[in-house]
Amino acid sequence: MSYALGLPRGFNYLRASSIDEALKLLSEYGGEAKVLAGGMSLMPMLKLRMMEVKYLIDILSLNELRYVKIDGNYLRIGALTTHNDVAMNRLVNERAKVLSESAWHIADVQVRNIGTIGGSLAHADPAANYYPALIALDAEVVIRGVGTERVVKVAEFYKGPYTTDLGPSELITEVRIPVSSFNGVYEFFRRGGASFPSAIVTVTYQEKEGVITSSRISIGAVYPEPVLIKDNLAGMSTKEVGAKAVDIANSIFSSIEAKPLEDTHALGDYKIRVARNMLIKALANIASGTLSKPKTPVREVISEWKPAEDKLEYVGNLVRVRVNVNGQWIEDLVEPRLLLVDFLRRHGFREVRRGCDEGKCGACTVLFDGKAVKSCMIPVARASGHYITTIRGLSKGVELHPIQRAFIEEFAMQCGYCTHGFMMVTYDYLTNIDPAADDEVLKLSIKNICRCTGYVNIIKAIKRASKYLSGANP
Amino acid sequence: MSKLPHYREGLRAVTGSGEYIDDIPTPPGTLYMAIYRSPYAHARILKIDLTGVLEHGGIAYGPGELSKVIPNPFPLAVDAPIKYYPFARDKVRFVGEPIAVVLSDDPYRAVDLLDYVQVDFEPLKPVVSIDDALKGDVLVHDELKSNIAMYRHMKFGPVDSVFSESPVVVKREFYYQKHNAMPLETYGVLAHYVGGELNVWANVQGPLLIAYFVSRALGLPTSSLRLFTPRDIGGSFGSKYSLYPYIVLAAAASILSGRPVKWIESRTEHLVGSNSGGARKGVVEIASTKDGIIKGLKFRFYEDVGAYPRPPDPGVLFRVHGNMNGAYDVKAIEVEDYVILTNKLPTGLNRAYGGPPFYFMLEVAVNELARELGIDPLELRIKNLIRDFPKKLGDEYFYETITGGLYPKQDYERVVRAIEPEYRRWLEERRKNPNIGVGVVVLVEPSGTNLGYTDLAIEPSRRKYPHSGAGTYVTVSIDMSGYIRVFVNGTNEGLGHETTLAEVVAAELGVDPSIVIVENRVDTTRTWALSDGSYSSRFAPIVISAAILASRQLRERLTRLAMAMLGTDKVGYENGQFYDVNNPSRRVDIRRIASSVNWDPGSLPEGVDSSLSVTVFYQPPTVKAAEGDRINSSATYAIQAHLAVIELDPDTYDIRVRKYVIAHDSGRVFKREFVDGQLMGGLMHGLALTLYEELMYDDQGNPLTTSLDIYESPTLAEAVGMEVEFIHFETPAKFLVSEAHGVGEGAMMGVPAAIVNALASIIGKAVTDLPLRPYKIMRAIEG
Ligand SMILES: Cc1cc2nc3c(=O)[nH]c(=O)nc-3n(C[C@H](O)[C@H](O)[C@H](O)COP(=O)(O)OP(=O)(O)OC[C@H]3O[C@@H](n4cnc5c(N)ncnc54)[C@H](O)[C@@H]3O)c2cc1C
Ligand code: FES
Ligand code: FES
Repeated sequence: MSYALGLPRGFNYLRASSIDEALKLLSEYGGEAKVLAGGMSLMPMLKLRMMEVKYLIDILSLNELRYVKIDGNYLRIGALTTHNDVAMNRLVNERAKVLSESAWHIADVQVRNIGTIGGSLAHADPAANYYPALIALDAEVVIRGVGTERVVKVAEFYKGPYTTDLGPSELITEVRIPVSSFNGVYEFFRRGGASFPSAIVTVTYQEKEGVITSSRISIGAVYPEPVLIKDNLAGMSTKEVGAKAVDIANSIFSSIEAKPLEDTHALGDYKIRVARNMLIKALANIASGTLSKPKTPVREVISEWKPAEDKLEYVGNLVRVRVNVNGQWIEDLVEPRLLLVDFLRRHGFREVRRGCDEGKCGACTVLFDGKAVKSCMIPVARASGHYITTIRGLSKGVELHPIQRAFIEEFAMQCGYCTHGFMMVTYDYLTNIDPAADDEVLKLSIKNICRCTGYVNIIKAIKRASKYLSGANP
Repeated sequence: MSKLPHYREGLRAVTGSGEYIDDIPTPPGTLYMAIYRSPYAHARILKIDLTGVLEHGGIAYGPGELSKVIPNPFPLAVDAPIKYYPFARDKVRFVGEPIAVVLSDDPYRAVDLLDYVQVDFEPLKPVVSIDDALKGDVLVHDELKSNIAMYRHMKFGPVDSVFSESPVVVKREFYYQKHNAMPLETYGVLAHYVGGELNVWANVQGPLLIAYFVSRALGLPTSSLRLFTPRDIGGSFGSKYSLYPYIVLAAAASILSGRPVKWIESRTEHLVGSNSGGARKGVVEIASTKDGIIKGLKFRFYEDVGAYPRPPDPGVLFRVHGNMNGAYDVKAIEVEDYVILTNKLPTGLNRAYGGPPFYFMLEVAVNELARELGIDPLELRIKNLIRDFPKKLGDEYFYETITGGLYPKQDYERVVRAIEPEYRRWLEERRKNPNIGVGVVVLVEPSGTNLGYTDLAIEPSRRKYPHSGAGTYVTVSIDMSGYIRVFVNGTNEGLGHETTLAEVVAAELGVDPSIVIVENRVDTTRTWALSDGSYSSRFAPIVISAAILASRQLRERLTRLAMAMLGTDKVGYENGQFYDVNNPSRRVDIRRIASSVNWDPGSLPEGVDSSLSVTVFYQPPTVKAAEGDRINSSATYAIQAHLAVIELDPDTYDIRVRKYVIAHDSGRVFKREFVDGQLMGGLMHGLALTLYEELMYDDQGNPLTTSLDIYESPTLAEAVGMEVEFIHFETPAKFLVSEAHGVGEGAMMGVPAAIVNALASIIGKAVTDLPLRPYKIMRAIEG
């Protein structure tokens, strides 16, 4: 048996430059191919050798699938829109706050920078953040095959843990949410350093003159399938909802027959209890009108994924890659499965380090076209034609970058193994997410692991760096 | 721009220039090793077929080949007929136990080749829990005839009469989980056997006994082993001590293949196959008067060491032997220790070795005594604190514990009272918000291990030799340009040793730290001692002491050389310069002396020792071998008090730490930032084990915790918003040259009980089964 994990088995890597090309490749290779969107679910499975694929079809640079817009009666979100964009986009925040909130709770900056909403739905993790939010929003998925297009309600799209309605050669192209005015509450509980939640409760409702006209309660991560309860609040005043919260919650949970999921983080009876308490809290909040959540930053533009300039060239089983690291192009002939972290280390960028097999710890974080990603989650072929930056690309010769300075001034390291990854994610976080380093946003964004420092000094260093970058003198 | 702080390791970290094991350049022809590991917790190996690996272009060695070059089992600390090898011979005893190794010139391909290893097993019923093991119907080691690798029963003082006469006896049962301190960098080895010499680079935490274990298993003389560590190690916390079986495997692969062999462990392997602290069941009884004066303690411990009693275990039971009375004046102690074998990952050093389970049980029991008697838990502790230190050794006074420990004199009450204002303030808060909990802990932190405590695993009459290893070598030299060079055969896991040593040595020699160069890494081609390495917070009490002594001796030599060069018998010294006291304008500096000694030693008068290198071996004066079952298990002990303020979420039953205060007296603080760093790191390790981390197994002995995510390791997010405060006292520990106690482990020792006690203040009972998963709290509340 092998516990030597973290390195995927071999695969062939192909790039699609249009939706049609992706669909064509998918139908050509049948069950032997999978599309690679963000790779934040697919790569861990490949690296943990839980699955094998013969062909990976990279669709990340299909920028035509990155958008958020209102069109007709729908808020439309392209399938490749990243979690960070879902979280921060102004339209999503205005029209579907619960969806933005659900995205803020996904993993960390690095995963949200590249992971996509379409990928999350296709992967169908029973604890995925989006499902309860999208089901409560009555959202639909748009699915395309070669010459076909169909629309399925998210609630029906999900067929069970890791199974969906998606055919082997179909693509999700869009998620759309009916535009209507509703209020919503998103309650989320995650335990310790676990990534995925133990329970999610989403409630959306519409009201007219203080009386609820329709409601959707969706419970996720508790049962093998997200549970939807429709309109059981209808006819009640919001005050009544608060007064009857315990009864409403008890009757909902006693009517659910499904067996709860059990995992190492939480036992079934506990999950149900917590979800019930969260629902009671959500209902109480509806009654008291305290729906507001921590203020998270908002932005207008959707990030693009720069299409690679060159075509991939195969030499036998090897692929030729050209990666710009800290301003210098590096060329090599590699196995398509070679991970960016190993490529960088082999070429002397030893500051990039590996700390886990699963894409969690963040020690391997680098900037990819200016955004933080975990280099252990990216086949180097994907980085071909792109720009990678390590700390040596940020500092100018011997002069330290303000982030380096802040880290050393706060004694924010002990063994130093995590330091590079922390500095790189701090850079992206302070530059692109939250220059002020607000506690609530920080908590949702940087989740790298350090085993030595107890984090206290790293937090201080991030705050100090925030001051330096906003103009304070070191 | 302001000047950067002096922090050498920090500068390496921010510039990405640290050198870790995976950064060591590989010699040409290096092969990468992958390990085929047992998928069963307990099974007989029927047949191994490695031909598939060879057919696919790889190299593979199974138990047959490995046995040829690994003739000897590792020595054990227990007196039991068990053989521990780095690979399974005919039976596998835990999931993840190595069976065969495969080699390839590419690390990815080495892992692929594992698919072609074919092994037939006959699965056996596994022994998973301590209770299973005690039943004894299935045996982990048939030769032992039970699953108890050691039983010791020791009594100190009038235990029976104290317990029969005391009006109050409080008894509690506890469970402390199996967990691993989990350094971010995994294990790594580069082994090259060539020309009759075995060269090993590995991220071990010292030469320690590792050099001895490795050469003995391979049947090589220690003289042929050249063991090196890289300059930086990505954390260890004890974990990397247990790298030695893997060093042996990589070395064997190099011997068999004739090539250099490199192995970097995966995270999953680290979780299933490296090392952990043991699970422990414990029963604690406290005999007390009605007003809370503790008269006697009884401990019964069942320590689950996994599949093999791997040395230094069962040392985990004896590391605290000298301080089993905690900070209290208790003269009657009974202890019963069982070492239990199960089909799980073997154990070993883990940060605060032995301290967290011990103080968790003692300090929750003490708290329960206070709750039962209705006495304020802080007051009850203060009542019982040690106040008299009557034993005189040299010029210092000590309290001699009934089990043999020597606590140096400190004002315990002053330190404990330091947390009182915050304690009272938060008790007030608690009145307003019943979800706030307040817990306290008082402990003495041992530091500077006496390796001799492992002898307690053996009945006194059966011990062959006395042991008291604790000392360290430090070399301080001056090179031809006047740079001071310090060498320690230790390791850098991030404790700031280079920076601190540079400052300490510079201060002793009166020079600027910038001219002091420190090398702190294992190199067995240079002077080293069996007890050299980084463990048991021995840096401040022992290594710094040796460095100071060496610096002083070197300064003595420099003085004599200066006298000779200045032709006077009275010299003064300031800022790196010696001067003639009778004519202060006549001066010579260290550089000048160094230069003369190197360029023109012929001009020095005869009889003056002109060596500018001093090597000192420092053994702390308090460390001696065991006498019967009494031993001073650590060089020193220091008082520490903790205050934990938590908030319970009534919806999720999860706990959040609002504030954590530690007051301590560490003798002398050399660099405040590093002391704080140790406290913060230890605190987080303590919280991680108390709230989240456990190596879990199913009832077939399959590891469930195979990723960091499942392990629930706290990330930065879990620390945002937590307030910490440290209150430092400095009572010089005069019996040590450095006057300093260690500080790396006390924080972690106290956290579990502090949190459990804080929770008890909310829910009215102590949850004594770690970690505190919310479902346990839910059940404790809801019944
Ligand atoms: C450390 C870590 C923590 C995480 N924590 C969370 C969490 O808390 N909550 C949460 O919800 N998620 C979490 N995730 C998962 C993350 O949200 C993933 O990004 C997401 O599940 C998959 O999106 P992706 O774009 O990365 O898809 P990929 O990994 O590229 O693909 C996943 C699957 O979907 C298929 N696929 C992808 N896009 C399409 C498409 N457009 N059409 C059809 N099929 C497609 C792929 O072929 C593949 O089978 C975490 C991931 C990591 C690494
Ligand atoms: S090594 Fe990439 S996230 Fe851990
Ligand atoms: S400093 Fe060691 S892991 Fe962060």
